Amino acid sequence: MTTSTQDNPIDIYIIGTGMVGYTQLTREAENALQASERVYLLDGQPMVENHIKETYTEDVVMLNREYNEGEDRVATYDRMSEEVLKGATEVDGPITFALYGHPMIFVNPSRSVIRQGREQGLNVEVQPGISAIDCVYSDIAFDPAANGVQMFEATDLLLREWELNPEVPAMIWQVSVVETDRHTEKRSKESRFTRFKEYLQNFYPEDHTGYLLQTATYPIAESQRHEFEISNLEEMAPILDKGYYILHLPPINERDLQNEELLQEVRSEDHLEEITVRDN
Amino acid sequence: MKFSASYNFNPVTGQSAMSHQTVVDIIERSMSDLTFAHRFKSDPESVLQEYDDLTTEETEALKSGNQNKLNQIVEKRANGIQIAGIVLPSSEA
Repeated sequence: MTTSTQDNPIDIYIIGTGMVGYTQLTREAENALQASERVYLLDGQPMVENHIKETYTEDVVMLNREYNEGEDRVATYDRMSEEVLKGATEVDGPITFALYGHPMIFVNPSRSVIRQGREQGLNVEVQPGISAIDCVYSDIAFDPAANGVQMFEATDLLLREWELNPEVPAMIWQVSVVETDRHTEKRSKESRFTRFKEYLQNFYPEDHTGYLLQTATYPIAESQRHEFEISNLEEMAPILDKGYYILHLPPINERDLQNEELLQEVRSEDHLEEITVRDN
Repeated sequence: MKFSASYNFNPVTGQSAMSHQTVVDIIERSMSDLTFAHRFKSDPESVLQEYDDLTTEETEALKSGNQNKLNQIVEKRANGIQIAGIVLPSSEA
């Protein structure tokens, strides 16, 4: 059974609420909320829930309560997506699944809703949101056009032993929760980060500087940047325990130009003529 | 104008339920009122004089603009979710 109507063919909108309460909702996300009968929300800030209830619909289902101590996160995400999919059959009209940040960046439950929803014949529309990485780029005035960027999830980096290129800036997500796929409120031992540190040392010198970056999620809060030498990563455990950080590893040096001949061509009008053709 | 609320101390959390709500209200207002947000960031001390039911801990957290301290006061779940993350290594996604 689907809930789409002639006026609105969408059954489930998947949106991101951004990082700073509800202030980074895009216009199209607002339109999705406006059109929805019910909203499933995964966002810990009570201001977001209040805003949706006051502005769009009282029917807001909070998914935060699905997290259980020690539970495999796959089971948690499965329950969340099942609840959303069930909701799509319960109301007359579209529903929205709203998650903090960007709904497709470092997020799992939205993917199962898309996959299973489409298998069930539901129309699922995904809209982009503002991710933590967007905010971090702004916080540190980072432009990936300058030296590129390599981005990994911390546990995945260790599991698949991705090769890091030390000449390319690295952004490593979820260092705080490295080496587990289970949810816990317990704090980390310093030794939790030893394997991760040693892995980084395969590619970077011991005294290489890293930064733990946390973007502000309230308008009156300040984004944070903690500088440390990677040999001291374990000592950052108390900071890593307090919040969600992205580890930024700047390159060890700026890579030199490798192809001087191509540079001449890049700057040449004749070369542009050679590689382009005008449409008639 | 002075914003106030009756004192309702919670011995478990060590917080006043009403003042906790005041912190939420201040942050909520900063999301909808840009002038307020700018005024708060440039002079939090004078803005906080408009609220008389905040605990010392809440006042300090608000003045510091420290994300983690504010998270702990506003909504413990927020921190929990952020630390847990909502992703798995892509090989299992």
